Amino acid sequence: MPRRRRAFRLRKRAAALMGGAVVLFLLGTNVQAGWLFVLSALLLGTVIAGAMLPGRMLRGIRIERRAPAEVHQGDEAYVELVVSNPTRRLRAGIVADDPMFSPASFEVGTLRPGERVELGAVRVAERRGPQEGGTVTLRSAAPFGVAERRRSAPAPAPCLVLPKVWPLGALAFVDAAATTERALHSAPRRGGGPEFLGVREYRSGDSMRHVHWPSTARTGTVMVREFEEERTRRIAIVVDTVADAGDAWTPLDACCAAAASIALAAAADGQGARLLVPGEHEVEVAAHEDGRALLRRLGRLAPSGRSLADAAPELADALRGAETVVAIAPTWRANAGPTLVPALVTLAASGARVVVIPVVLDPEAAGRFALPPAEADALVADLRRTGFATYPWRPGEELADALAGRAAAALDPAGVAP
Amino acid sequence: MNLRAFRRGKVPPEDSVPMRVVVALAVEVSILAVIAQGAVDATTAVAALVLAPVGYVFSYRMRARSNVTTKVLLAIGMMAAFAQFLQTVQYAANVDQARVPLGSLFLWVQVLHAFDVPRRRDLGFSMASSLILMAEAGAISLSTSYLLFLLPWSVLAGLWLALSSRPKAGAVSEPVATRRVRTGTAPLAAVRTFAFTGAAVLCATAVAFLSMPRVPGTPIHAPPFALGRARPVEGFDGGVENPGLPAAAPDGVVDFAPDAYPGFGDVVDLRARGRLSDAIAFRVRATQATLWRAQAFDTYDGVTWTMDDDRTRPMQPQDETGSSVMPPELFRRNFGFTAPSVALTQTFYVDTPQPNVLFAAAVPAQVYFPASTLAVDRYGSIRAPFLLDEGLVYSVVSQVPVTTPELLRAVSSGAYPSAPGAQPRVSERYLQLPAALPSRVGDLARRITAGATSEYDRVIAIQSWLRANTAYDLDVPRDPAGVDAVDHFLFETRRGFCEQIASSMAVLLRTLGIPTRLVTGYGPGARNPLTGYVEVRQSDAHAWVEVFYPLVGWVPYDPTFGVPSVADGQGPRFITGEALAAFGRLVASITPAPVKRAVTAIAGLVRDAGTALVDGWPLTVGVLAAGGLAALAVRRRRRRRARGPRPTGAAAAFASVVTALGPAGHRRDETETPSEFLRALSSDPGLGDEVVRAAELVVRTFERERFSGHAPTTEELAEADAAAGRVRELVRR
Repeated sequence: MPRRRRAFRLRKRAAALMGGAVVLFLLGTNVQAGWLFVLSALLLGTVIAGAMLPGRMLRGIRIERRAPAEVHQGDEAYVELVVSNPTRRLRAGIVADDPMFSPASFEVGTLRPGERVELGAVRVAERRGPQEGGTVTLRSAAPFGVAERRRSAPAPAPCLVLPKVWPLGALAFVDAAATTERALHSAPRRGGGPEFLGVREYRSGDSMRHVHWPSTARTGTVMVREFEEERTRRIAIVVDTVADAGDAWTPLDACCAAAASIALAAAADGQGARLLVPGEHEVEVAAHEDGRALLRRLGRLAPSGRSLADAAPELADALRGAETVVAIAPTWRANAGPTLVPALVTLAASGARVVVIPVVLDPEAAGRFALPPAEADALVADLRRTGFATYPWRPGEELADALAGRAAAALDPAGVAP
Repeated sequence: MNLRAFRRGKVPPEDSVPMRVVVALAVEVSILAVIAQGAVDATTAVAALVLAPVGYVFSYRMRARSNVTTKVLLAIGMMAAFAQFLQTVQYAANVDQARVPLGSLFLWVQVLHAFDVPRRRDLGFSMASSLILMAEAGAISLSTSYLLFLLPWSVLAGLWLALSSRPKAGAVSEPVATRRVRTGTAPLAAVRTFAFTGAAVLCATAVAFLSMPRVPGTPIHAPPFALGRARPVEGFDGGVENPGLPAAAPDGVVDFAPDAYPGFGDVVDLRARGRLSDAIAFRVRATQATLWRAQAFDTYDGVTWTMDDDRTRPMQPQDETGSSVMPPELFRRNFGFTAPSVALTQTFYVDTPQPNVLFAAAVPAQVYFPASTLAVDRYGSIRAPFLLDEGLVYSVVSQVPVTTPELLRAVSSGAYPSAPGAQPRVSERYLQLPAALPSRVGDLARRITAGATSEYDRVIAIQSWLRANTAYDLDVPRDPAGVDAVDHFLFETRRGFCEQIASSMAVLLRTLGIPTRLVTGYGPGARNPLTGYVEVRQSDAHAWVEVFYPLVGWVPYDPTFGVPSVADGQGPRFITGEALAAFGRLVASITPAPVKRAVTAIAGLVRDAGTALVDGWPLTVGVLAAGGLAALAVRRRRRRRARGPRPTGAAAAFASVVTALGPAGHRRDETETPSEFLRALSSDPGLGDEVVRAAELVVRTFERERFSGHAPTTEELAEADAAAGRVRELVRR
């Protein structure tokens, strides 16, 4: 936990001046020289005034921050700090500490009455997710650098850091569709897809799982849910959100980046991509969203504490109509072979082809909750042995290379690859 | 290994030219301050003044280099300066004589250091050494002229603190774009800030200065002495030479000269008149100011005081310390053994030429003086073989008796037990009176002391009577010929110089059989709170009385101004009183006489008004209360007007929403429209949908009320009110 900084702090310079004052006082006492008392008092007076004046230097200062609304993780963003002095007094020695994206300090210097300073800086968006930027801390040690006063001011500049996206080209496990238009925009029709369309009265043959109990209770008639027909969205991307760890490039960031890259590559091939995420209480499904909306959803994705294995039955239910299921899961201990493989088998029971991308974690970075390298290798082997197309994505490896590795593995005469 | 990287480490050189200029100027000022105090020889002074700026320029140009050769040369230079110091200082006989070599060494260190100040920290060391030079100059400065150096140095030091408090290069990020936009004008803002900062430092310094306790320091065992010009007294035989006195008037009276007091010599003539100048006679470094005694006189002839025995004896030199001590029998004649005493070390710095008498607190025991042939008379007065000229420095260690009324009462009534070897009864010469002294003088003395039971009480009674019934006046005319000066003063004028007042006390006491003598010297003077030295002026030349008490010795009494207690300077004390007094003197000296009179008159009026207000306090309290209430009412009315009318309807609901959301980080700017405000709320995911929805209802109702021309219905207003309440509640949660 970072140590909270105090609003007032004496600097080393104050100690030096006070030490000098004491020495001069002692000398003055011994040689009975009045000017040494004056010099001693001057040093002490400088410390006293220097401790009181910095507070005035921050009075009335306004701060504002401008940042782009969206930026991709790892990309550079232009962030602007606007510090203004609406008062009629001079403000000096101002330094602004801005924690947005990555902590940095900027010297504002002296602000004359009515003056505004706009400081633009290029910052790297290292964390995925919504960023408020935090409070900007203004500090000043003016005029003498004896003591420092701090004042924090909110400077909201909402920015959503979207997952990183790599161009993947044609995916080996995605069949090209006729048009992207068809993949993304089409009128909904009743069918067996995952998207909820409405409720209607029960008809013979309807599954009891689709009974909509609130409407049934309200109308007194058994009502069932009706679903949209799945026509072109044949890829379903399942992202494991059981946990996350780290400050910058986290396992969940990697999963989101992989999901975003695959979804956009599939859309480029004319395939609609459906995103399924185990939420805290239920599986969240995003089916109608265009590429930008999907990126925003992935940008906001947070750990749910619910593993892919826990949510497997609900996921299987939401996979209707999907031809291919891409399951992206970090190699947490919660996703060890004995847990993950049966869950994926459950997903495969829906009839879709299951492609697995195990995001292999670096145990040093991810901690003790990550599978050791040997167990991660065992997981990959288990998945392949079970018959899933498996593309392990190892630390430091490019995603495109990881997905291309599947072709090499397919040629593996040992038969480890699916 | 890269030598530069090794030398510099990660600290970059300091590129700020203003900072270097400020440091160089501060160092120059400190060098000038040392030179002005005469602490270095002329060659060193000129070399330092020229070489220091050269060094700073050289250092700036070479700041990014390793400068190994320069460092080696500087080290050799430092060793040479130190060797020169050691060679010179070995001939110094005392601390004062080591001053010049030490000052030169400091200067050379400063100058050599100026050639290698690449980093900000090195410039800080330069400022620290300039502070040391300023302290050295301050320690030996005798006058307020040191302010001429201290003030600019303080400003430069403040500028250096300000400049060096900026973040170092690399400590902050560099923005890719910086734009400064100025919308207002306040041309004097920088001046105001500078003035306010200066005033704050000045106030804080004054508070710190006045709060500092002055505690007695370590006693200096070998106080300084130094010779200025030496004008020998021709045919010195222990007599007093006072060459500044004017020639005698036709009636034989030697009057005052502005820089010469006729009380120093063989005779004190009570007919002498005149004024002394305010020039500083000498400065004294001592923990306590007291009466600076020069001579004593025991024989009064009705007009003049003379010495019955003007023979002198040599002081006894002490080889090991370079000092002289008073012969024991003379010391015992002037100093008792019963009274407790304190040793008071005084160093005198002569400013205006004085006669060849040494001034010192009574009783001088040991003298540090640049001559070995000092003479002392039976009254404990010391004479030098040459005149005390400007620049002469000498020190005296005195044993000052600290007496109490109880002790003096006891010894004067004979109740105090005598100790073996104690002081004998004093000579009859201290009871001598002129035969023609009118008897009414003695009658007056007996009337004044009618109720007194001891000798001490009689002395105090006489002193009190003189203080109450006589006035100090330098404009009295000369006494008519043939009158007794004391009788004329006591019964005719009761106005006069300190000589008349002191003589009257001495004579009155002698009529009662109490041994006394007239003493001349200088009054205590006034301590300069800045220099710490006691400044004694020519006009402080003074006469007072010494009264003999068995076993205690001679105790001073000053019926004119009083005798300061030397015990006051022995413990911790504060200088506030002395500083305020000095400030008062300064103000009084620069204020024109008409202004003084006007201020006095106004002060009198204020005093009278204050008295009237206190006397009629019920009316005062009533008027003050009524005034306070009226001021409050006016203030409230102004505030109400400034706020404008209170909003109603949807405007009130909107104002309520704005107020509620301010602390949540959504302070509405004056130029922000309600819709813009609402958009800002919508973009904040932390607020929650319910808050935004409720705020939207309020904003839309407000906009309809304000802009559509159709007032909302009562139900709509009620909904807006309810929505505003919801916003308040949700934000509070």
